[in-house]
Amino acid sequence: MAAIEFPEALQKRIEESGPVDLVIGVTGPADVEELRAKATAALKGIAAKTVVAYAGTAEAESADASAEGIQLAAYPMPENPVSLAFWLDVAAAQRSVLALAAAWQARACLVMHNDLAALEPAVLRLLTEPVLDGKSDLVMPQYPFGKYEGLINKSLLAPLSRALYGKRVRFPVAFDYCAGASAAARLVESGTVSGQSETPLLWPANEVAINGGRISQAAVDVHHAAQTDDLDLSQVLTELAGSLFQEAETNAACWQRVRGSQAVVCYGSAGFAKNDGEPVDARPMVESFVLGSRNLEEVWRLVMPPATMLELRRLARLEVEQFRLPDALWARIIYDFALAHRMRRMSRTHVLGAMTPLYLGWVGSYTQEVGSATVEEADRRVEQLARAFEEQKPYFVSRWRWPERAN
Amino acid sequence: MATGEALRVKRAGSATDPLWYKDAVFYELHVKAFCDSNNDGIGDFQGLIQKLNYIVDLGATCIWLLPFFPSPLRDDGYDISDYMSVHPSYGTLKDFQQFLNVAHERGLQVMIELVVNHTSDQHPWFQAARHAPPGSPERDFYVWSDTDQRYKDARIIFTDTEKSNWSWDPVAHAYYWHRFFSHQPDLNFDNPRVLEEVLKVLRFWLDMGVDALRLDAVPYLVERDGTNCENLAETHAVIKAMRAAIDEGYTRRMILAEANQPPANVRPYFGDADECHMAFHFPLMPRIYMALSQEDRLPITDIMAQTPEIPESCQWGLFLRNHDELTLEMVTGDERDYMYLAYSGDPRMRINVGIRRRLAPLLDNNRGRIELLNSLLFSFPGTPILYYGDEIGMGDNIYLGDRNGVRTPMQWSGDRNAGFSRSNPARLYSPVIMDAIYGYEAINVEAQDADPSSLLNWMRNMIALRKLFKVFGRGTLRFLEPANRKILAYLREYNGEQVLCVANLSRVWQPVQLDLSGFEGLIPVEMLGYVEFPVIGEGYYPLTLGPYGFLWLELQTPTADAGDEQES
Repeated sequence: MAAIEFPEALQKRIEESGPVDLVIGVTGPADVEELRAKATAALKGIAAKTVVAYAGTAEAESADASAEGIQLAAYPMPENPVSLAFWLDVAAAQRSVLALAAAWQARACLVMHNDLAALEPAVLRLLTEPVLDGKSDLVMPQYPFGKYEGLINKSLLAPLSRALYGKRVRFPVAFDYCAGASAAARLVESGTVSGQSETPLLWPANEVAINGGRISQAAVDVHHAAQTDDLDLSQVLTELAGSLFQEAETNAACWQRVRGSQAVVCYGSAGFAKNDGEPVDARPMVESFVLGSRNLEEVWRLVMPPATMLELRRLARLEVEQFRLPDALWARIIYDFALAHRMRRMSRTHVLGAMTPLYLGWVGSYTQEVGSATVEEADRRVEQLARAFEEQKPYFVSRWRWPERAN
Repeated sequence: MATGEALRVKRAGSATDPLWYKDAVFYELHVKAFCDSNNDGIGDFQGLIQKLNYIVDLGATCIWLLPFFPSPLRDDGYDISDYMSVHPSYGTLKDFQQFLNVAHERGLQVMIELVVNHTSDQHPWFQAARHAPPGSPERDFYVWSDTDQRYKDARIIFTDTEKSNWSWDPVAHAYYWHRFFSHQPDLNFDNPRVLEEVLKVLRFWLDMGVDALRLDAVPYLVERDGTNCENLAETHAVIKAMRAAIDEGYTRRMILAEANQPPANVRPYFGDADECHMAFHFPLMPRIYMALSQEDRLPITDIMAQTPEIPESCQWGLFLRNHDELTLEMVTGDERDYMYLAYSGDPRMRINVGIRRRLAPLLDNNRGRIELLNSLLFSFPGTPILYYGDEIGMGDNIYLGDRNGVRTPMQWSGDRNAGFSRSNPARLYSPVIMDAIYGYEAINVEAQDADPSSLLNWMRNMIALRKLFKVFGRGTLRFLEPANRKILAYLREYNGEQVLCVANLSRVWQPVQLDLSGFEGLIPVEMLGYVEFPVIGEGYYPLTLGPYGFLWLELQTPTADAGDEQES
């Protein structure tokens, strides 16, 4: 991936402006007037010199500093070569924002979803202050916990990231987070993998953890509309899990030395979604799993060892109501798929595609388990799963180092 | 054919880390022996390009190419007649540039040979010199004498074929100096024009993007009466000039010294980090074999004790076998006799002062021994260098002349010509290995690729494991001294990484008590299977190793249970 370059006019403006305290980058197009108004209100007293950037080519922004020390800047939205790749688009925009902050020599960079839900005084304060005060290199959001929201994150992204990199970060891939200057620069670099044509996702917490940076979380009452409604599940899994697996391959020398995990400081009070969520019918998901176990057995056998296959066969024979996917088994499945992704013995698309029925099986199991649970109980259930990923990590390291040895 | 001028666009080095060679795994190969794309019986660059993924999958990070330049091939290409071109049998300069580009795209670095102690007697420089009058600039490119009595203290290297380092040239009516074969006259580095020409050659290849140069026969560049004509200060001045030219014009490049000398004599080739970045550790290699045969660690610990510190940015190059004989120049007479008895039962296995055999036959094709020696190669301080074919346990052919028995075609499959070429078998540059044990039908990449327990897959895993730990390429070494001398135990440490390596040099089970004081409380984690061993406590740490067994144990700090840590 090529280094990020900005238009000459923007470059000139950066040079003339000199260093700033904070760059807030909206990762997409935004209504300039709404942005200006909301930013002015939200930023009162947060940082002396702030740039609010948004994706676009319009020159609607004024180079003049407002009374609050805020200036608006448009940056070109990067083109993603992969069509219909929602998360890759987000990552490309985030990388541009971080690069812009680095160019502006900003002390902190806040990337933000373009629904502007995070552009509220309390949220900005929680996300940016630890960085601006020098207490943290990265502040990740802790969105309110909902039982049925963000299941790919709960089941895979968060527990795998935590087990690998040893930091208990709830949302390792997020729409809104704040990075200090050095973390921002590293994140831009982390995306410039030589020989890689597509833009990789950004895993800020993992990257900062590898480099020994200080990570914290901010419990923010921010809700983004469901992002994946119109997207194919396999496509989303391919984007998200594939990216995390790729990152694991790149950083194998780092995470294999990490044992256990550490809690990270959380600013603000962690909240729970007010709505417990509608009851979910697990049957179609379990049936997808059973269908997958019939149709994909040949692929699964190339990925998972006999002991796991045996357990999956046993699960496939259960009634829907009895269907429960044990945490340790699920963790080992994910580790096996991460390894298969690395080994490249078959197409990565096939590997990730074959994971979809298994994921649906996990969802079917989880939704039944937490169906009658409170949100707090469901939260504890997710924590239990994360611990299982940690406990099974030696299995992953062992298989990574000697892939042929599995039973 | 593309001309050299057309290709002379200065390209950047492919590595990102200036010390890339410290973490590298080298893979040495001869273009002619690797893969034949045009079915003329000789390997070529297009064939090599087809096989680059194999090298990537193996885990090697730098390809070392043996000489591929135009040559009469009387010394397998080390007799060069044109430094700035490619031997037509292997392709063209354009093919080489394509190979280089593809290798870089795959994340591989490339090292080529800079053979400038001597040229072929067919090189235009020598032809001009022998016809030029004495004292003329052309004549002065080589070392001439009216007598063969100068430099009498210089030893003869190719003792099997050469009786003197001087040969008479009937055209020049003078003797010319050659440290190797008589058809390889030595260049005269006392003539500044020679160095100028050599620097042109060096820049030619670095401009193309070559990452590293192996300086062949580097101790012999300059001669002086009253000396053995090896390792002279004037030779070091030449190397410094080459290094200065590299540092001035290029980044992230490397030069490696081939100096078959005792470690103390090799040390000056690193200079103050202003000569070579790397040098081979020649004396270690025979002593590894000796230690294995004697089931005694002493030969290894002894030579390592004689190995001086080198500058931080420098590195030893380690190998078990290469394209030459297993050289015994750096051992004592008794040790040499022992090695001949232990490793070359048939006199045909010997050549010059060494043994011309590949790794697997040297070790009686014993998988445990092969794995043990590779474990030492991968865990000793230095950069490991693999010789093509040894990763699958290829055999040799002692009935071929010179060192050709270890330079046979790569065995890719059980197909005709071992999958190396589709040509008529009679046309191959060398017969493939065909015996019952090492023949291509038994030993080949295709078969081992499909076998999870094959040596090839074992090598892939070991290389991948080594690459996870910088300590192997960059860390310090400290030997432990357990009472049982059949056990070799050493600690590698780097930036908080601590690895304990323990190897059983014996054919039978061995117990050992290790003094790990200072490491109490740490947990040894066996690195291949990621298995926790008992925590290190007070007193000796007991271990038991099977025949030729080895353990790599990462010493990890126990994790405090962070589960109770509160978020604020």
